[in-house]
Amino acid sequence: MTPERFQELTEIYGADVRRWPPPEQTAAVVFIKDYPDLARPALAAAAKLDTLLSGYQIAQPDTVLREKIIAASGKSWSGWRRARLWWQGTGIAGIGLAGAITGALLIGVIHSAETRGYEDQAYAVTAFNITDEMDE
Amino acid sequence: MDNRKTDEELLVRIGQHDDAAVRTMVTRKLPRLLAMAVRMLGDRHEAEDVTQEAFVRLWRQAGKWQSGRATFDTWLHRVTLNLCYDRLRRHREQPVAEAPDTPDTAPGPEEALSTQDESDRIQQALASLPDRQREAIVLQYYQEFTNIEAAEIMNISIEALESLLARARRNLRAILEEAEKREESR
Repeated sequence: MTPERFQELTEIYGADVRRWPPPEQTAAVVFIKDYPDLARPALAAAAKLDTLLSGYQIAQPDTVLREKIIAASGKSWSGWRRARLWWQGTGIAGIGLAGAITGALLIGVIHSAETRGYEDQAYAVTAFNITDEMDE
Repeated sequence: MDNRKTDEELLVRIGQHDDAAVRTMVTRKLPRLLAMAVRMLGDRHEAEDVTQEAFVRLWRQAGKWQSGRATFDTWLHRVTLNLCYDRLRRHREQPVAEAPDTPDTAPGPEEALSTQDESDRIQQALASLPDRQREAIVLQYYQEFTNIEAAEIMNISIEALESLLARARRNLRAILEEAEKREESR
């Protein structure tokens, strides 16, 4: 590692070599050992800012926030369940509607078959599979 | 025990509506995400709102998570940071991309520096950094991400990250030294 790169790394990552890119950590430790007079001023300047930065600590989240977040997970799920139920409801309504249309068509087709002769009856049998009923 | 489970294992269980997994995830992630949001926004109340929103997104996505290139932690940090940027944009009413790449030297915060305690002085100094420099230092120094992880979260190259970090530290040093001088001259 060159002195320039060592200086650069202190200016980027600070004085704690453990925060440096892993591939450069070993070389940095060797550099500090081999060139302490070059390494110390750069590390000291970076350490000063590190110390100041470490003084800015954030208080832990309180229980109220924690519980709100946990409660929100349940709401998300119930919201999802509601959405799923809505879709299921829509599906059931759709099936009902389709049934009504089918029934109306069936009645119309049977009625037509009864009034229009054999060929149309055959069509009705094929479309709705009602052979047993018609044979009776 | 849930504490020994990986984030991805917890996500699977959260997707199955497992309350214990939800609690473990909150215990594991909330302090870090909240701290990051406070440092990005400089306002605890707003940071709490942002963190809650980030978790809502987590709950919605949990069942759909697929492991890929990005780790879950990276994704969660990115979501939280995006929400922070939404807030910052709303405050400034101008796009972040247009923010200058030099410290905000508006007299308000700097005047206030001398009357704050050390923690508040750092908060003010961080707040006066351009957003991307603040993001870089928060991720690398406070969140303790490696350079590769921080660059991935920020969606930039390692070289770009290093440039942002170097400028952030240089600006912070200048702001804090200036504040120190003002304090001494009083």
